[in-house]
Amino acid sequence: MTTTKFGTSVTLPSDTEIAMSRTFDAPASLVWKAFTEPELLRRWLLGPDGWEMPICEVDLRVGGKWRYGWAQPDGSGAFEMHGEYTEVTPFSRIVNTEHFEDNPPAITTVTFEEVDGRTTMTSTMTLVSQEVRDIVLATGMADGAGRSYERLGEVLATL
Amino acid sequence: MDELSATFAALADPTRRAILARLTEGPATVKELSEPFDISGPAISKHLRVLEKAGLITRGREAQWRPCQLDATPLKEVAVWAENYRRFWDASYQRLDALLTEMKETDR
Repeated sequence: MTTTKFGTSVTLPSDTEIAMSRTFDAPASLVWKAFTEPELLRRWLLGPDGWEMPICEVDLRVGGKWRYGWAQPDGSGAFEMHGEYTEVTPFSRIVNTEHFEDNPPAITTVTFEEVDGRTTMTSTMTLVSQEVRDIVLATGMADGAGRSYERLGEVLATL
Repeated sequence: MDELSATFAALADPTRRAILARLTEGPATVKELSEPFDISGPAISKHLRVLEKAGLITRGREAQWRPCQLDATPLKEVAVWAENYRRFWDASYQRLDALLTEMKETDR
């Protein structure tokens, strides 16, 4: 199963994983740099308009820690996540744990693949179960906003 | 445990998911819900308590029957979470496009 929306494709590598792929018009060395240097990360890893990233710590080595924190300019809505790097292969692959609030810790693998000067960055997130993954996909990630609630009954019926 | 985690935890069991699937067809009694499963009434009741605690079902007041009904409100939270997740990455990746263009120019 593969769907594309705004250039970000969502695929299902295994029962408990969701992978998001996006291609960028730049070599892997630059995408890697933008993804691993705090002063660059702070400029793009911001989500919707109106957010800043006051906390951005990256100790990029196996066993090193990372910590990201976001807030609105007046300091409200602050939230953060953190984890530890378990694999770092320059310009190619990063594996890390991810702790966010009380959620069970997730494992995220990010790969960088360069072809003809363009780089596809794939972020794979391991979720708690196949069913949760399917609900997540069915309710929003692979689809548009808004109508997801109405479809939940159908999703449940197929579990 | 926050509400989203409680919803995830309640959904993590196949029997509970089957119960929810059955309830999408309409309200049912404990006896009706236990019929497709090869487990005891008390075991079904235990699953129902977990679902009720997670806010995924509500139960009628009639002492004898107490029919169960699906409540999709917590699932809406899951949907909102997923949509926010997608929106976050879409917006961020668009910014990264612009930053990479700038970095390429500086590189030259």
